[in-house]
Amino acid sequence: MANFSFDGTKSFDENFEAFLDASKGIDEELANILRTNADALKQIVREGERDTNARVAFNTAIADALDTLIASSDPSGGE
Amino acid sequence: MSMARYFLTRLTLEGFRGINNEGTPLDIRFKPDAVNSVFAVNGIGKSSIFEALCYAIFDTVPKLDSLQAQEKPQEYYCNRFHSQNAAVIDLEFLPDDGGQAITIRVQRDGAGNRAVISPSGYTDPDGFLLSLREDFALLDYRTFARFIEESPLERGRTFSALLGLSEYSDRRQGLQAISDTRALNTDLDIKVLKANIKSAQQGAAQALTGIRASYEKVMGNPATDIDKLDTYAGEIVKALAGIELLKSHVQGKSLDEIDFEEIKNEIKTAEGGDKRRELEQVIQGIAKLEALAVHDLSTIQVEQQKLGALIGERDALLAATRGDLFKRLYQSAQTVIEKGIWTEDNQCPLCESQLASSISAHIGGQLTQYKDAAAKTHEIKDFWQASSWKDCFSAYEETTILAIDPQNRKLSNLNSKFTSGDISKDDLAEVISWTNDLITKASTLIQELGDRKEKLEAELPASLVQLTEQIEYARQFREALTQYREKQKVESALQSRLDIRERWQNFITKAAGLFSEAESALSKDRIAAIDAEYKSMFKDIMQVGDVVPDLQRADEKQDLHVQLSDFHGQHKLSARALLSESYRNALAISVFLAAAQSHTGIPRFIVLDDVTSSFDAGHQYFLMELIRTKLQCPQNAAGLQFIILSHDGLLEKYFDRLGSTDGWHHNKLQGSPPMGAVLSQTQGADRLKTTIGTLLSAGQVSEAEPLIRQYLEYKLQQIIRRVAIPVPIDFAIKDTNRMVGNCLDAIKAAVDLHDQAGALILDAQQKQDLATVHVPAIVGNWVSHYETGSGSSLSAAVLTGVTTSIDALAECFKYDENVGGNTVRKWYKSLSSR
Repeated sequence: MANFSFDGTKSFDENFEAFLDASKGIDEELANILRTNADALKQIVREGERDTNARVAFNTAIADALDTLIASSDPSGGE
Repeated sequence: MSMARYFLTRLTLEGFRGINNEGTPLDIRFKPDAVNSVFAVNGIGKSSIFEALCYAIFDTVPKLDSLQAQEKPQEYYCNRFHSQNAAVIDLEFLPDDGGQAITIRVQRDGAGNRAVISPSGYTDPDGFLLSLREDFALLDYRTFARFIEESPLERGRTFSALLGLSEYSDRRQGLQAISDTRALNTDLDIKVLKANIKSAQQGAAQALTGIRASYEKVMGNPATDIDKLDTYAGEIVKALAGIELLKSHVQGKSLDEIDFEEIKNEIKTAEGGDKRRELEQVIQGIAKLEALAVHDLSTIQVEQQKLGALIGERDALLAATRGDLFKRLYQSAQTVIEKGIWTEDNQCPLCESQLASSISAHIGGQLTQYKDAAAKTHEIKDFWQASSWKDCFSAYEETTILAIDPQNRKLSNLNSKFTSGDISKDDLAEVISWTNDLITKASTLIQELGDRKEKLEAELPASLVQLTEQIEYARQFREALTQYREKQKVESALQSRLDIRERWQNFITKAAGLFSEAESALSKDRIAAIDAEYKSMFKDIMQVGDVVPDLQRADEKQDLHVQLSDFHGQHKLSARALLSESYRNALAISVFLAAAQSHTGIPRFIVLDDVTSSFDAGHQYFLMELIRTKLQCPQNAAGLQFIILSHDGLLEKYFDRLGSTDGWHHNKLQGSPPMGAVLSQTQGADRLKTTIGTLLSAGQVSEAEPLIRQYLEYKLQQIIRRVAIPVPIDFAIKDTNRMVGNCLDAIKAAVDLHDQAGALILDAQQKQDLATVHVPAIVGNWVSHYETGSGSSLSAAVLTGVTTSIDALAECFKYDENVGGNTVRKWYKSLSSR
């Protein structure tokens, strides 16, 4: 995992995009899942307030995406 | 080439929140090269202006977002008295590169639909509004006040907003929330998956035991290699095919294809009778009872002892605690201490007596006992769930051969007690006894069935007895083999799901760490970049040189500590212990303004909503002076445009004084929201007067009254400002309902004073009209009626006379001057000079 830093001259969205790219260095397939669900991630903490339902919804979406990933990588097509 | 940045130059508003203004939108203009102030007393609609900007730019109104769904927040965006139930917000932005102004219209209808267009023809109005979504564009008191939080953690969280990093803070906390181990265990069912895998493994092991036992019964030799199960199945088929009676049912088939019921019927046909059927049932019964023998009773006994010990440990831990009421007391006390509300660690927060030891350590110790007891309860539950005893218990209670009445079964109740943590030693003893009873019952029954089998075998032909046995065990082999494969398949699928979840856990934990480190570094960079600037601003606002704050962000944590690097010559002291709220406010606004100044986002304006209301009067003044002289464009070439919203009456005097200078543009809001119109003074007194005339002509006296008051206040304050009439110190904060009377008193006192001193500039006619006609007319027909709360309305004709009187009264302070051959009507410079 390479060193990563935010660019103070760029907007948050640009920096978040750069973070998503950097996270590919940890695990590319899972970084793609994180990117797909980035909007749901936004809902979990807004203005410092945590939303437990949003966290559960995010993790549920992740669990579904992980199961889909297993099925797609299973040559038999999975269960 | 740098991108253009934008000033906010105009806001018009209709039908939004507290602003009705149906048909006559509130219209406020802001100058890019001046500090813009907007003053309104409470309830006039100042907050609605800020909320309109929030809604237009951020598509949110925080106050409504915080309402519960059942309060129907969506019904409170549009003004509830607007007949169309529709809001229109028009914004005008001027680029700082000399380009054309952009106008954006944001509309919302009663159904909550939002529409954004650009009357000036900008191609991507939504995208433009998105580009304005910066932390620095809008700052309200709510956000500002949170910086003043006592605890370093809370301060750190809100501090991000002041540095323009609130989105980073929110996203980091979001990433931390989803990488939390407990949340992942729950949300991704990691614990459940682990338990299910263990259960599948146990099921496979039991099936394998069945495979081995039944193979040996059929073939006479043991199945030793589990990798050869298919071979064993083939051997069984081959053995059965060698029996003449069965050949036609077995030959050419796999084990899975063999119809054992058909074979049994064949044998029954070969030798029918009740004893044959009974023997078959007896063998089936024995097989079922033998299947129970896979449970290792010695392991179960060890588990029972372990559970007994765990329950004993839990009981001892519970006995050491002081019950639920004390638990709540300790938790409350811990909250009080952690939030910094109670800081005396050697004093009891309840009775305030001095303590020999640390109160936080004592509370921590007490709460640890509760946590230990809860952890032990959890351990008991987990141990039971994963125990062989539970599986054995379930198998014995549910097997049909023991015929346990469902009503007498104890597993369900037992599971509940283990799950809730209510399991006691007595419960455990009872269940152990019941388990032993079941085992004894099975043991007795297998003995009885064995005896019966021997007897039946003796009575039936030996060859067919053995054949029946072989067929039954072959069927059991197939059944166990199927079960084994199913369990393996289930285990494999579950293991895949667990593996990828653990892979995600590893990924998201590292990703959250990556983000957190980068955010921490950015935050530190921002603090370092504005270090000199915020300290200089703090000094300007507080007017002190020997109190110097210093912000420090802890490594790896969000905590933000405020130290004093200098406090009247002493160094590195606790800011929390020494600084008053006013100092902390000054520090917060200094940091925000310093960060905003160094930021180069698209918005080049800052709207401050009542941020200064928490400041002392003197510090408000120095803050305003700092903004006016050092931060506002063009005094500061790279400076920003400031728009300051306030309801502070004293501050309004400052606004009002500067409002007629080049560097300051002041708007005062008046009106009667939420039903009537709100207008800014600069929106034009003429328009106000025209509206009054229209309403009075139509006999709508009650609708005209608030506008008349607004018009009177505007004209009287205009006189006071134009001819520099001094007003008492409490002028602005006296009862605002009596503002007309207050203004007339101030004017009359100043005129009398100048007259007695022989210095009054008004001519004789003006002086006489003022004293004998206009002031008495307004006092008699407005002040003494409406400011004494008499309740009833005057006639339209009388009120028309009042508006005429105020115009005539204003004329008493003007004179004609010849300018280049033209006569120009001008205000006296003061009451004693032109």
